[in-house]
Amino acid sequence: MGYVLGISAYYHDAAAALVQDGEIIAAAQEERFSRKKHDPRFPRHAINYCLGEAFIDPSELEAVVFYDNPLLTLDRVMKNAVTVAPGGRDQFVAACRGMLGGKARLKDDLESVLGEVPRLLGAHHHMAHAASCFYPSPFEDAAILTIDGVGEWATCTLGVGRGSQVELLKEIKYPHSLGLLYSAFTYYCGFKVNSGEYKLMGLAPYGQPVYADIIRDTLIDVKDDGSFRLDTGYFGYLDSGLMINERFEALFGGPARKPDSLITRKQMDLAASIQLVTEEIVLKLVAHAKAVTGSRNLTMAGGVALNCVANGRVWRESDLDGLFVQPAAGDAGGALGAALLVSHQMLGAPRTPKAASDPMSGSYLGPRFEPHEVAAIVDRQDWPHEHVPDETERAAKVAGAIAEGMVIGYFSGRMEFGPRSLGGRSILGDPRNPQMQSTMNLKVKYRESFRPFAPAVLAEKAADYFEIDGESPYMLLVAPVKEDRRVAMVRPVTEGDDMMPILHQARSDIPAVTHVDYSARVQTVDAERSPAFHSVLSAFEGLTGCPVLVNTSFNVRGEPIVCTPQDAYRCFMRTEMDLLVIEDRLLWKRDQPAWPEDDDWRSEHELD
Amino acid sequence: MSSTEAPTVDDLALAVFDSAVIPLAEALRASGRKNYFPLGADTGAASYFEAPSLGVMGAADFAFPGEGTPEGLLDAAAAVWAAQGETGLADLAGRLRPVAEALRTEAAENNGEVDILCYTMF
Repeated sequence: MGYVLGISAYYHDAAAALVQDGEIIAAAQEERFSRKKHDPRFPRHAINYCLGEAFIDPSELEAVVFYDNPLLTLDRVMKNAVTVAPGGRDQFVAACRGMLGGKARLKDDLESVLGEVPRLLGAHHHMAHAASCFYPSPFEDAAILTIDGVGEWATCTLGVGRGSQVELLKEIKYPHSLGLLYSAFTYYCGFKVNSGEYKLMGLAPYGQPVYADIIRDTLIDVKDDGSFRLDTGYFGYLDSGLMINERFEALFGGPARKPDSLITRKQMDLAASIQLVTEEIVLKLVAHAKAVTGSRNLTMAGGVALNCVANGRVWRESDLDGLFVQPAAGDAGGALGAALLVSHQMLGAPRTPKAASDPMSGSYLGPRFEPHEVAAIVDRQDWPHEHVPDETERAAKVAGAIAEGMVIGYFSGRMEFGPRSLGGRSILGDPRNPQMQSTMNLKVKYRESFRPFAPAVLAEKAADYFEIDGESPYMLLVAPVKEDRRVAMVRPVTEGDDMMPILHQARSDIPAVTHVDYSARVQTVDAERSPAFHSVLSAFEGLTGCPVLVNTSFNVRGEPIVCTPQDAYRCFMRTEMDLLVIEDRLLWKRDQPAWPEDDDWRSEHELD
Repeated sequence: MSSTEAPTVDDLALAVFDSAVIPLAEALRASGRKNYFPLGADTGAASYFEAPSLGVMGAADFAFPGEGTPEGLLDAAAAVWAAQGETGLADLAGRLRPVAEALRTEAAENNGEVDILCYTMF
């Protein structure tokens, strides 16, 4: 039997994962079911899904494991309170509410979903991150690097994985945190902490790192081995509800940008600066991890491991034989890591890494809807549709629509685990179309127009378009677009406050997925992991000669990625997508009845 | 607050802060002991890495502290702090029990919003 249920919850991105004898059966984030972005609540829907996927009831679970140790977190919180007192009075109240309220009643929550609670276990936060990246990797041995905001006391750990064992060797402790430093700049630039970090990373190529020296000289001291300490006198998170304080604002010449106000060159330059410093530190940490462990393979997790620009530099510059980044690198992945850790290290499940297989199953670990279920839904809802059961014919129709400039909602197979859409719940478009980035940002995603889109490319053709050696199936590496595909930009990227003239310049023959620094966040698509998506890309290449598509997550700004056909149809009808593909059903917008929508649906989702 | 109303969670927590946390902080400083963690750089240090609190998780390390209840968590914390010689913190754990009890009574419904303090992991 050997089923282990992993749970992450109560902070952000609650999730559940089910593992049987070391094999990953299912994993999903609660937000996909509750429709609340980054939902921190106990993942009752995700747990029910995981148990249902395996056709088991709770009595068949060998153990339930939580991804974090609340005792160590309470220790940090109380010692922090004593350190900053008499400051931090209001924060102490918030800490009591957090630590002793709903978050401390895991047993009640488990009983409400599982009935009698199986054996309850706990992992350490960074150990769960480490397990989440090492166990699913193809490596027999590897260095492990975890970097996040904070988990219990640790903010960064360095370790090694060998066979079935994960060992942590070194750590950096709170309050010194690369994740919190990056989040401080996210906040200062007017984006939401814990979700706006991607925007800051996307903004960085518009700027120049003119503030990098101030950051290095004032905010963070970095040693040769990549270890670091912050000057906590510039940050608010020790004694207030804010990331930064007045000293930070004075250092950078004024208050934080208000959310959704105009982005100026200052924010672009701040983004470029903190991104550069982050990359420098990550590269040093990787070099030290290699030296300490003696391994030329590296696995990474923790929220900072979602910084795919830094990951791209690691892969290009660190002389590694192999790199595996957990696609659910944030706290959601902690549920999976905790379950794998118990399964392998406590229960003794064997681990047999194979380069040719992917234990993450392409990260397609969530719910699927079989064609007969989709048929029942579209018929019951009376949604006009075209039934195209033949996969080749369907791929040709989808590719044809994309080539005509249409935007496609694509719903196929199991939902992805982690923040990236990889062809299971995606919005697709033509990357050759110079207007596609603006169209998809403003008419489909309803998000800021500066944000770049990612390319999905046939794995076997990736080297024709991108300077990438190897695969990037999880869209976690940024790589340069090949020189011979670039178009020289007339207006320098560093000129002026207005990003639009920069943005509207063609940058390559795939402009919709080429960022202003000629980089792209690449997803390589192979037929083994993603056969249906591979077919669409192949058909598009057959029609146009281009094996690349725009691939962005199937949602609007602030909304979780769609989970069910009903979620997909709602998102499709609320936006200017032209075609919705749900398995073997094609729903053309022109055929659909008017959507009886009130006008304030956008207020349902808090902007990130 | 009238004399007949029960104190709120906030009242109770603030009372603990004023009557226990601040004196603990003052005592810590008066003793000349270092803070629980460094607040800035150490130019003389060659590295800021430390040995991890736990290198490998053995079977016993997976025991969930406090069995998933606030009372159990506070008892476990008190035991750990007492073992560390942190008698002030161990006493603090006992003083937090009424806060935990009041929170259970309050049982506020979480609406799924991410707490602004999530990044400091409260």
